[in-house]
Amino acid sequence: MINKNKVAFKLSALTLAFSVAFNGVAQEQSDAGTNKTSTNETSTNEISADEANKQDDAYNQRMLIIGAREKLNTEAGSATVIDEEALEKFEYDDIHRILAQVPGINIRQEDGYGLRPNIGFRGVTPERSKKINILEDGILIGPAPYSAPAAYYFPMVSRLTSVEVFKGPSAILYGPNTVAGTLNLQTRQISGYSEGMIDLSVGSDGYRKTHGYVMQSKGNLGFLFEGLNTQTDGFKELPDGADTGFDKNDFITKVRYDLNGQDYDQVFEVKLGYADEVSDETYLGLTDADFAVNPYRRYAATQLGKMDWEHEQFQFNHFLEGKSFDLTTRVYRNNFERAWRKINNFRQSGNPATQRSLQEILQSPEDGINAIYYQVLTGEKDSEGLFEQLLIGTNDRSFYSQGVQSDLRWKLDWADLSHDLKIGIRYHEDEIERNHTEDSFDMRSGQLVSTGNSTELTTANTELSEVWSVYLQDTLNFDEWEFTFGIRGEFIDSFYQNNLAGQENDWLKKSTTVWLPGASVFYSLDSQSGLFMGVHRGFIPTSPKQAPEIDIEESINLELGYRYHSPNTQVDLVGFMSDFKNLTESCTASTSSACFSIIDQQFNAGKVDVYGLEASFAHRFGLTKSIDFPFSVVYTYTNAEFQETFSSDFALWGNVTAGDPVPYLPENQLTISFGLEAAKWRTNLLARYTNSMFEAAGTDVALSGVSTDSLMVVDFSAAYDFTKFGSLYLKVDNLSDETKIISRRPFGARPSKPRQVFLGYKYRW
Amino acid sequence: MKKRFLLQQTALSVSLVLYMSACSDSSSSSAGSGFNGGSGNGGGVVTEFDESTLVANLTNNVITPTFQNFGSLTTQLHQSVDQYCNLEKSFNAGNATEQARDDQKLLTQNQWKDSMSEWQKIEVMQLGPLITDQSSLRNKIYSWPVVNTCAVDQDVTFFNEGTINGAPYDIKQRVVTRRGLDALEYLLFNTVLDHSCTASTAPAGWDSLTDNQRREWRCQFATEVAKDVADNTQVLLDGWSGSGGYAQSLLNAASQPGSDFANVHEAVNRISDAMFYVDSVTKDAKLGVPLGISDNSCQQNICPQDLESQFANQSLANIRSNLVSLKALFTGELATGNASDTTGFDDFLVEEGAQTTATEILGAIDAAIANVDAYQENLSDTIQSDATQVQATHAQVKAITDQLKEDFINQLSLELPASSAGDND
Repeated sequence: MINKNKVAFKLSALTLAFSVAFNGVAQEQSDAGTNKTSTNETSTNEISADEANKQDDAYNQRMLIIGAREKLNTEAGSATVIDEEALEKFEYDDIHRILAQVPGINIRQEDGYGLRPNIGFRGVTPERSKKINILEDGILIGPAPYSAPAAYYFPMVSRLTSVEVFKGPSAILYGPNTVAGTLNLQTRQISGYSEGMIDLSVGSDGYRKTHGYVMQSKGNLGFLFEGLNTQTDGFKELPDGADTGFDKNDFITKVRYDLNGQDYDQVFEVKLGYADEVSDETYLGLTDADFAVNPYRRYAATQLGKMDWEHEQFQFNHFLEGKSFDLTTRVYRNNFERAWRKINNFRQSGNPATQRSLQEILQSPEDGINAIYYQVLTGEKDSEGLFEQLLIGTNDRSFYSQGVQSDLRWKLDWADLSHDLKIGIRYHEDEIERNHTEDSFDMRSGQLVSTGNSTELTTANTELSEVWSVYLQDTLNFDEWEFTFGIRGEFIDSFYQNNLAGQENDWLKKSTTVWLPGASVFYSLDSQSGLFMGVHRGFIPTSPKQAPEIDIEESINLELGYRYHSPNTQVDLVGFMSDFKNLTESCTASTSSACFSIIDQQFNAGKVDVYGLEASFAHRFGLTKSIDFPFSVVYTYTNAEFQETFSSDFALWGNVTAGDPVPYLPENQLTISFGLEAAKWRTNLLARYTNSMFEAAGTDVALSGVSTDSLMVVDFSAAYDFTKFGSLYLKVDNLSDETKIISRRPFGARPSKPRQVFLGYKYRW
Repeated sequence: MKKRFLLQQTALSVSLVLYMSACSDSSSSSAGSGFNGGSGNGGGVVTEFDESTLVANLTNNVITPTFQNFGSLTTQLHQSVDQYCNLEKSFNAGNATEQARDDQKLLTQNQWKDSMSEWQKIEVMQLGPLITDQSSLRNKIYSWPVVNTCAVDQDVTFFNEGTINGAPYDIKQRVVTRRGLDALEYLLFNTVLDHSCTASTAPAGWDSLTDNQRREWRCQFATEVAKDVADNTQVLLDGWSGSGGYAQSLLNAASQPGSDFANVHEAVNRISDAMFYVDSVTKDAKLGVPLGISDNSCQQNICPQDLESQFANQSLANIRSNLVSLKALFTGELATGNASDTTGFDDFLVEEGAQTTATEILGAIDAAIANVDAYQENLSDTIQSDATQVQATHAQVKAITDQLKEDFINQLSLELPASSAGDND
């Protein structure tokens, strides 16, 4: 049924068509495409001339979706850029902590390190970040964004030089998921200079970071090699004292060649990447009572938990720049393989009266037979009966994601109007192949011992998507007004095939065509401020194996905002509303153990209304001639409610009544950061507050009526620059050592990261 | 001029994109015959059949009488265990003969078998109070396969000492493996007077008791367990009957107030869910696991220790009761009943034009019961001496459940319970 590993890029005609079509156009000189400075909403430090020149590079700007700006951004959407300097302030390894500085983000933490992030924007559920677009250098970086959008791979954030978050009508430029927005992660760009860096850091729980890069340029040729290793023994405690942390590696290399002509400049770049992770992680948390005694405890039954993955990436970019247009073409291929060994459940007796999910056991560990299961989980009791055998599953999955995309930016005057055209086309193909197995173990004196039963193949299937995407957006300038109209088309062919023996007839073929329009207007009040409004259609595709009865997720998204931007002050105020015609969710092991028998099954919830407010304010006060006081406040209010009454088997929903809240959406989030910064040193403090969140919407599911704790976390950082001898930095995550329940999923209460102290040394040349 | 043009262009563009988005979405699909388990069930039903009659008959004439009969039996069982234990104590005091004690014990064992036989019918009728609160009540009455003889041995000691960890012993607070019909089976039928625990979990002082003392301690605890079973059965009857009972909720399911169901079809589906016990438990857990078709305690070899009834050897009788109960629900008629209304699922199928399915399912149930009746030995002995006979029984039960999972569900537009959505075959 499925032609595996197909490498049909179908690119040449496409690229050529664009190149030829626009060779002769655009006579008018403009300042197309390149915004020339690095100011952003979170950092306005002055930068060196060299730095500015590097960021001037039009090609490097194209790897961004928002770009660096010093003037008022007139796009009608919420756009936030966290640049390298801002990223270095707190030296975060965890994308969750970085995104605390961005309004409109909702997060469900899980392991404390952010190894497998759960990120949502503007009220969309954050499960495995599957409803947002995650890009690296403008390319979809998820393992299989259409076929299996759960982001089990996420780039290591320490090697990023910019994090961009974009929400609003221009989301239609970055499909497939347009209900929420796009997160673009920019890797280090070859600057044209020869430079390098080494960054060494040690910290609590055996934390070690080794990070460095070398960049060389000679004439038109430049290359970059960057390597990063992060490891820790982990802050959780197994009864046998084994590690609970991780060891991650990430290597990236780029080669760039510039070809400058009289009429056109071109850039050719190849990027190769390799990353791996071995982490002693588990999906099993604690009972609330055990959490109160020691939130960092891990039960004996989790001792075999391990995530082991490898990621490879290849990307070839071609950039063609003329006087009034530029064309970026990217060819990409990402391979991802993971084997996730974790406790799935107790052996299922087939008798619903005595079967319990891990979630049910941990939620009421003293009720009835749960007490028996609980004692086995903790190792207090040996397995005796068949029902006390533990099933450890290894979810082995192979993914690839490949394609070619071309993006044209063209400024022209036509019919007495200035047009800023954005046109793109992409052919994308991705696949997931699942081979899930299960082994049974007995608990014996606190150790898991194999029962001797043979390994059972529980799931074997393939999902494949072949997709053409196109978009066209035009921005018309007229005095103080800027009107933008756009549309995106998604043409999805998907295939599902069950690969288990005897299941050859279990297959599904689907074709979906969707058009996603968007429109917005920006009105400039003056050169520093403006009002904007936008509307666009949100969409999230269903995965290939979902039955045709499962509807696509779609919404109408509205927003209204005000923006102010001056060299030292930025203000953004955005009200948003998303009217979901049909909200969908999928059942993964990360959601609940009740999902194991229906893994990746999707569910409909019907109408859901989400509305909220994003507000951010940043200002840089000059305390003295040499000391600044940067200050920022970010606030998000979100309200999301189901509009229909329904019953669902989905573990996050249950029996929902219209008006019930959507789970894992905090009503209020507030982040305040400030610091003291001088030429040689800086200190910064970041405090963020997150409301409690419902863990389930309706009744009759394991976590009905249960909420996470409200959480206040304060992070501190300080650095001193020895100029020629590098810089020393100190940071303390969770200064007050406050540990709260950040979620009870996948199963049981999970702690936030405790206080951790890090000391690092960074040397640049 | 320029402004007017811009406005025209704006209007045109907006109209264009709205038109395209409104009119141009499309989707199509094709699926293999095995997709979604081959089930084309859409969930809704438009039928001329009066489903409320079906629900009323099954509630009033099949399920309620079975529950009530079990209530009477457990009361008698408690009395019988009490009489037996009095004789055990009298015998130890020299006031009764061994024969009198043994005769009463045999009567009590038979009383337990009768109770278990009736309970095994109720296993296929797990509804309302039996499944609420994570089946807490069901597990208090009978918790198999979650059983633990050592736990029972420990509670024999705790009960007779009257305290546990310094607090008065209260069986109502004890975990379900230490009570219920399964614990009673161990106490009444187990002839080994040693405890079944490991050295680290052995009941304190047990080894120093004489055999007579051990029998007496066990029977005294058995009396407490039998009383607890009778008490819990009364809780079941209270939760089932009366104006606020679950039976009334089922009867009111036809869109009347005071029901847990949105419509009567939902109530029919709930009863259908209960019937699938025969698939996931009777077929898979009671036959498939001991046969090694599924993982078991013997590396998927023949495994008599995974059979349901380890001490009374009632495994086969239990399977028979399950099948008899399924037949009663399917036909709307108890084997002993003489109700005038016998509306069952068979009638529903006939009304939906599936006479063949009705006939085939009934035939498969009768064939499976006949297969069980043909055994010459108990299931434990047979599975070791002639596994093919047990495999044949498994196949007979599978013939029923295959029909239930496909034709039955599809013809009546019912949904499979989650426990039977996958196939363990």
